Amino acid sequence: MSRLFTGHATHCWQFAPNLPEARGHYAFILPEEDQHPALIDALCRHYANLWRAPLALLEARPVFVSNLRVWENIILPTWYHAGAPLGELDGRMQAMLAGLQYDEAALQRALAQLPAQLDTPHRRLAALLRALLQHPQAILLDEAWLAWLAQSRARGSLLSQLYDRYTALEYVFVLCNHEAPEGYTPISCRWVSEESA
Amino acid sequence: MKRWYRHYLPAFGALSRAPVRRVLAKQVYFTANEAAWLMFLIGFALGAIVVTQLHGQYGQSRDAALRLLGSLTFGELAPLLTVLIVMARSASAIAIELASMRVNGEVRELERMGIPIHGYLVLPRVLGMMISAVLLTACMALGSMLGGMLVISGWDASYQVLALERIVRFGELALCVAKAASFGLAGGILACHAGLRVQLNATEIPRAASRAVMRGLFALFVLDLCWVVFK
Repeated sequence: MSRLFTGHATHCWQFAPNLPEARGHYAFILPEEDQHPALIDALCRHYANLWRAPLALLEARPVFVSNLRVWENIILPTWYHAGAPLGELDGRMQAMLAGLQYDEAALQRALAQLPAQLDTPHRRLAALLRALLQHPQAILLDEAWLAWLAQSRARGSLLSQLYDRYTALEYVFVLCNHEAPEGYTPISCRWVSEESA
Repeated sequence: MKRWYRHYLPAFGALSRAPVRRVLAKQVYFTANEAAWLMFLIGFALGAIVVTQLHGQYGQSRDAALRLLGSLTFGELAPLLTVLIVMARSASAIAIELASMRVNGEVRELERMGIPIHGYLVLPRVLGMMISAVLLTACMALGSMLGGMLVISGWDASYQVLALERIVRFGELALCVAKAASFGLAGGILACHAGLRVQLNATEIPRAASRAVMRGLFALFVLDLCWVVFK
């Protein structure tokens, strides 16, 4: 059993059997859905400190900075941390999309819009592009993403093409309410007082 | 003091990052560039009104009226009025923007991506407000002097322009810049504070705007009083 301290005075996160230490696919199981954001915060901080690299996030409702264009949102974390020139980041994204089957004009239109103008499929796609552009060591998915990926694979859309091509990651974490999906090692999470831990 | 060293001082390092400089440039553009003509015209009207009053109502000579206008404009009116307008226009905008970002989870998302809030959101806005306050004060002061000269001397104003150093002294100029910078800095800090301290509730957004403007105005007059007392 391992614990994760978040700076809270009396409580910490407890993981059973342990926080992942080896490469693989893991499912964090936390029945209280209202605690998911706090767990995501704690995991992001923990892995950022541990690996000195961000944990890429794919949430059910992806959040973007509303006063930046979609393209600026996609490159923001990489631009901030790596400091690469904008042209190079654009080239990286084009290289990532090269050879995939998709409507290029529709994607270009979506990239030039503000996040509030995006439809749901493009919102998910932008979240995935933002995550992949960071070349993450690990990715944390919401459970809903597994269902969307399955639907996307059935349709052959860009979302699943991108995910399947680029997410051969060392660590894949899924955040679930109850049961771990097939192929994922379950890790139960609890927000406990330090005394009971 | 410890908090200052831990949170705010490292934030200045963020200026070496291109996305932060871009936010700073946007802040200066929206706060200063879009209001420059407005400030110039307000300053022009103000200068004209002040010299007309001094010359016509109080019987000051043209030279004395212009010297008084220079002293009043650079020492008091330009920084105070400019930041008053900037506070009403931009402090509320900053507070609303940051409060919306917090309520919509954008601040949390930035933190998860490892982008520090003080470095990426607060620092460029505070610096932007400070730089804009100085630039807009210069616009208003320039407009005011020009307005005063044109009204008092008509088409002979070119003589007054060439003799500007008699009207404005270096000390007054430095005081004007320092006052504008301190007012802008205080306004920026209070606007960011009001925006980022909201509860996660949409009804908090207009309250944040109102809080930013009211606290900013209060700080503006308290700071001005401090300048008057301690300069």
